[in-house]
Amino acid sequence: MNPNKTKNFCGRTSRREFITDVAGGFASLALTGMLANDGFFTSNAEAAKFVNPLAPKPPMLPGKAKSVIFLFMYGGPSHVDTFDYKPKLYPLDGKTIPVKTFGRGGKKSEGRVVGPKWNFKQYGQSGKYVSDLFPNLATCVDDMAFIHSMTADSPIHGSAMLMMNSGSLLSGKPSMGSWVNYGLGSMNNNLPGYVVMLDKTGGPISGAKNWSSGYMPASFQGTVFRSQGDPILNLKNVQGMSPAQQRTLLDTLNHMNEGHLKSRFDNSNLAARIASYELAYNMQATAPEAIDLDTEPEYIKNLYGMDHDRTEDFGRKCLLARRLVERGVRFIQIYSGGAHNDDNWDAHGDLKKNHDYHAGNTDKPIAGLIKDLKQRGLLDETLIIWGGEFGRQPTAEYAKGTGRDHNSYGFTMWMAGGGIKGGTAVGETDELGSMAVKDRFHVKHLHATVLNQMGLDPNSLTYFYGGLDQSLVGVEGADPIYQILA
Amino acid sequence: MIWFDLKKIGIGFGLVSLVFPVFGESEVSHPDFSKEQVTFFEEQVRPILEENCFRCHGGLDRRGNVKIKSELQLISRKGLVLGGAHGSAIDLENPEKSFLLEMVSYKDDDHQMPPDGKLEPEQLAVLADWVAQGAPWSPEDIDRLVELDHGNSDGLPTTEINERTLNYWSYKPLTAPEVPQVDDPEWAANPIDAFVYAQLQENGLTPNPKASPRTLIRRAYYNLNGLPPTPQEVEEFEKECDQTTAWTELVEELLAKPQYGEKWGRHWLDLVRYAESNGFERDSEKAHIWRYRDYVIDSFNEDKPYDRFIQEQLAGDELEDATIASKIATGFHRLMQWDDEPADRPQHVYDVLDDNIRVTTEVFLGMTMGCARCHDHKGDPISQEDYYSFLGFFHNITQMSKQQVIENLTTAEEELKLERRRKQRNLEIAQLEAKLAALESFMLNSEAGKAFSEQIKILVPTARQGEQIWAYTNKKPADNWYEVGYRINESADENTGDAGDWKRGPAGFGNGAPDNTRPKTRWTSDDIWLRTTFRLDEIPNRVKMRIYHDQDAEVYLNGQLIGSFEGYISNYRTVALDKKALSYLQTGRNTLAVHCTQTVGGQYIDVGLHVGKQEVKKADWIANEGLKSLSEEDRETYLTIREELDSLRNQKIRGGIAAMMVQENGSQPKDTFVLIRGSAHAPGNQVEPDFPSIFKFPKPEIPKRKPDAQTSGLRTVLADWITSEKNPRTARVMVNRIWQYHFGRGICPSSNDFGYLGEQPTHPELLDWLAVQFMENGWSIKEMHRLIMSSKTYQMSSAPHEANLAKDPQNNHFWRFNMRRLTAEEIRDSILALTGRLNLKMGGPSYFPVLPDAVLATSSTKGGKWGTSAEEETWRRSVYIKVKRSLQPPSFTDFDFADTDASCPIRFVTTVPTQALNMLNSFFVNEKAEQVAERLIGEVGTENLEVVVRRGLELTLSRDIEESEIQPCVEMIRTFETVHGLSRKEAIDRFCLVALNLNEFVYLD
Repeated sequence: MNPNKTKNFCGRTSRREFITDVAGGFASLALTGMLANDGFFTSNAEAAKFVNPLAPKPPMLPGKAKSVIFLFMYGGPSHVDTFDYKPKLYPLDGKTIPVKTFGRGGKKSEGRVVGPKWNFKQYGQSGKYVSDLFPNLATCVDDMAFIHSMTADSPIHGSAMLMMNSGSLLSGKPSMGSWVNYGLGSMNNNLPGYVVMLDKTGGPISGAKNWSSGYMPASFQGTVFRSQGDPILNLKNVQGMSPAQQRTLLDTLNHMNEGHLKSRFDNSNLAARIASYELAYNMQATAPEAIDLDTEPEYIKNLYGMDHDRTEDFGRKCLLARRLVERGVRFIQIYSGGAHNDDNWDAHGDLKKNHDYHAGNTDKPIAGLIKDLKQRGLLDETLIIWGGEFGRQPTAEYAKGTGRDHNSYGFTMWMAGGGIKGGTAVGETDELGSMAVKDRFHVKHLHATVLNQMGLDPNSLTYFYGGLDQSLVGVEGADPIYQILA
Repeated sequence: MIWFDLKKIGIGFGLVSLVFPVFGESEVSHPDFSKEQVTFFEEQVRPILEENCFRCHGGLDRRGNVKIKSELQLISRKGLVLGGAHGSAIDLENPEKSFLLEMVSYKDDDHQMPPDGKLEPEQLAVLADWVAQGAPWSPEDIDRLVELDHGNSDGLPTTEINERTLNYWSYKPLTAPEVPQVDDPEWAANPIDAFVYAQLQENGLTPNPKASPRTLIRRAYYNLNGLPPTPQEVEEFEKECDQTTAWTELVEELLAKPQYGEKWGRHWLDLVRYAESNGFERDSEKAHIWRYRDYVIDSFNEDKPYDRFIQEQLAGDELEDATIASKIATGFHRLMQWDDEPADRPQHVYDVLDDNIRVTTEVFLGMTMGCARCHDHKGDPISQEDYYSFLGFFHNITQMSKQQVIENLTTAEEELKLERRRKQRNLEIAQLEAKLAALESFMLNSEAGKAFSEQIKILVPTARQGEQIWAYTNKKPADNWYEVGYRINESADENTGDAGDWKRGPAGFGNGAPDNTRPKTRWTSDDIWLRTTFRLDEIPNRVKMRIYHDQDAEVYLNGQLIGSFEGYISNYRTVALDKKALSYLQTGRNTLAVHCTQTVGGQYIDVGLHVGKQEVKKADWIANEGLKSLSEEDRETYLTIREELDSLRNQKIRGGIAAMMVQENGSQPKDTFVLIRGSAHAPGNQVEPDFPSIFKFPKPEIPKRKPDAQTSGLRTVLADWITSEKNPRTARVMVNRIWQYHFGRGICPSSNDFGYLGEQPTHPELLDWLAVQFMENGWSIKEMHRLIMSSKTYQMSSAPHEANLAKDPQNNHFWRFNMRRLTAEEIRDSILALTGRLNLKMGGPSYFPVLPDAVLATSSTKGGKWGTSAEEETWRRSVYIKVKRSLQPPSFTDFDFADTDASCPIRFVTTVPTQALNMLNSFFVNEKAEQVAERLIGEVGTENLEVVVRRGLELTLSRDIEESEIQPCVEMIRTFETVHGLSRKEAIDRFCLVALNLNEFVYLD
């Protein structure tokens, strides 16, 4: 992992070399300790004291961002109704035209155009067109960079979700948050390094597979974080166990464990386990404080839309995200939409009703997040990503109605903060918005951009598994989207 | 190369450590180019190539690394001519057909370069012109190429079959090494000890002394049964342990317990990534797959010879002495993740095959063959051709489907009886149907019946039903003439070889000669190609085709073949479209295309489509209208027959048990092709089923099967090779695993990879000796346990030793036994055992432990389709917990349960705070702590706290408890009572919670 060393096909020839490499290279003893525990060694004198596998590690490259907030618009928002302005699509409304599409309804070569259901206006210095769905977010365009030419490999939710989260259509691969934590560790021992907040209607399709650590150890998987009540599973003591009781209990446990350790002094795993109880204890004290929004002034809560019923929920999660960023959490993912059908952005039936609902719930909170991070000087080191697993087709899915089918041939995502050049846009779809035609980018380029901004070289951040140095961007490698970097 | 391909799991790496220009080797001659041509190249062509092609094909990427994707270099004319994975980039004979031009043309999904967008029309014109001129290039770098350096010191690459690879420890044949002579007789008795001791001496290490009896019995219990011994069992063993037979008897006893199969079967389930759902959006159930889990557990308990165990899983349905169990074993082929709605269906078929090839080669052979799916293996001598030849053994297996693959398994005797009953029933049905048909035909021939019969919706009328205009031509059109996107033309197109000459006319087409024909357009030539369209507002679920073909005809719907008809018929016939054909229908416009060929005699072609009547509608009509035309007596008869028929048809004559197992598409194996860059859309050379060539085995004989056989027999061929005593891998790999599950690490630590990217064995001779021994003992796994556990090496203490630690901190030489943490299942099962309520019921469908609502809420469906089980069921061993790919109990995920998406040869052992939270605060652990407390109080009461604590710790730690350990716990209980105001029972609950959290409880010495 020495950044000065260019590598051959796998950079090294054996697992053993990999371990030596890591120990002497960027990853510090922490990872050695972790590898020591994965069965290759059962003890390791070098890692004689506990090192949290999530201990912070220096980045490989100078990075701009310290944290990522991924606002996942699950179900697939329609790009031609949100950020990808297609003036020629309006007059075609209702006309059947030849156009190549591929969605859950299969491949088609013609369809009835559904004209965009919202008007677009220009905003900011950059004059970026934004639809009336996002009046608040529109005021932030000069901080945002749009990628209008995103492509993915699947227009089907199950596999497309896995691809957006882990770079592969098949399950079993670590998700982006796992890679970031594997590469950088967490800056806060008392909170998980990778946090996922789900929609109140439920998780996305494939549930935990979306924040899985795949072939990496479970310590890199996402932790589901609830915005109210008990934020993390089992964080709260059982009924009747006061913190003072718990201290009594832990003190005895530690005493007994220390006694056991005496004749097994060389086993770092035992010391690690003792330490992990103290870490858990600290987490129990810290995490509730992180979600306690009582200390936030009203005007800040209002900035996130917490003063309105519709925006309260997503606003709370965005505000929480900022607080987690302040506390050093590396990767935060918030889902807008859950479960199936119109509980998320999957507008197969009534496009207007669906997108008015989901955009209305999230517009103000997301704008509030950008503005709040900016006024605190945190936006520069926080990378925000917005988008779904794909976009939607310009044509109708059924004989009647405004619903659009899925579209992975072309869609829009945007990023802000974290060293992204605000007020820019890259790539184009055709006049209908049916497919990306100029400066096309694949999901792996988006992943490469995120890693790059976090100071990780997307093509060198690898994990040896199954006879191969695996990486998030795939073995073919991928470059970041340079056009949107500041 | 192909944009489409980039999206696959390709493993092409173009990054190099040393890059240097290479001239020579394969020579390419170039014509002399004129100055003008070179200037044209330099000024107009090179900038295009530099901007769009070099970065991935021989040039430097943005970070200054060289990339050579698809082995194609476009940085010189030589590179262009030599080409890459898809052959030469230019065609000097027919420049316009050059691959380079095809790729930049963006003609379809598979041909799109550069990937980030199509070139401008002017740029395309420049490239076409340049290629047409023979691709002129400047002389200075006309031959420039860069080469990847794989850094092999002796010059013999590990990726080829050569002296070096043939002699690699795991590729070379297995021979029994000599057991070393050691001076200490105690270390000479068991050959394992001789090997280990000799190596320890060589390295100046002292073996640890024997572990204490209490340590040993605990070690043996967890190792063989995954459960703790009871304090009585410990006590008895301690009394008897001086007798030499005590240990042997203990091992025998544990091997004979059915809990042995549950513990060791779970190791196997890790390897084959056992799960009971398919993953992806619906994460649907793999019905009855738990029978495979029970099969594995039973096989270990029976000590099924390992070679037989492999044969049953790979080909248990094909064995001469196949049993129900051996058929259930083939569920092995159905364990993988499977997407019922993939974006690319043909590709996903190969994803599934690949998943199975990976597991088969990694698990049985310690070989990462999956790496050769897209190109030759980058570390081992396994070519891409090897991969697809190996795939040939699996290619005939039926694909997974939503209906799933289930068979009812019966014994032969049972089957005979069933068959007799079925025949009898079918006969009765046929008789009744005939009676019914007569009555129905009477009804349908009534006036009202005739009116009803005509209620069909015509999509494309035949000449009899109406007039349909078709486009037709008698001259050969382009190859894609039947596709939706094909444009009909009056004039010829040389580029596509299309003869054009399309005209329009009404169907049918013919010369009027055959009977019953109604030609409206005259056709007398040999061939006719026809196209027409029709519209659909909704997709009907039943469509029928009316066709009159004289002679051979092929019918395409929306570019897909839906019917081939040979010869001629002499009247219209009706064919129902099958499910597949129906799936090609789309709303809006549909295209129907027909090709008819004539050789002799009269000729005629006419094709129509109509939406067929729904059976239920016909039944409705009969019930409401048709019956009116019958006499009262006939009506009674009709209704009685109907009832009888319904009940007969619904009668299921089935016996035996349902199981998910392997099936094949008949006896004739499917052709297999190398898939270029792993893409199902780019088939290359055809290959025959074969073993990896590095093993130098004779080519397999493809079995001759009766045409009516249900399978090809190829899997048996594969299983025979894998279990052949001459296979250098199979026995080595398995004894290494057995060793690993005893000692914490394999002799070769990378137990799924014995290749060049894996690790070297620390005791290669010992490994070979064990492998030979394994086969000599009839592949008996239990014999290996006996051999290993009787060694001194196994019985050593795990204590640290200063001098040894300094020399060998990682215990590479086995100077001590390795400590280990209990697995997720062992922790849960041990807690249940301590409550005294562990339910040892074996087998059957999996149970659902209660999951916290917060965990269920992570699913996209309400409650995550997680079931509920009776409370006693939830006290069963963890191996019987439902394994659902997208939803797992947090105690499993927290404690490093095996991944279900790929073979798991070694479980991680992580230590993170969420584990502590689980063990301290989860409902399960707290509830169980209370139950342990109840048991404890039941045994010793609450009066004497010292007795309570002593007994509590004895139960948890299976050893004598010292005074110094009792006092702190007693004090804690008192503090809970006095300071925190808890009752005695509550305070003892807390003490039990502490006991379950002790390091000593979850770590084994």
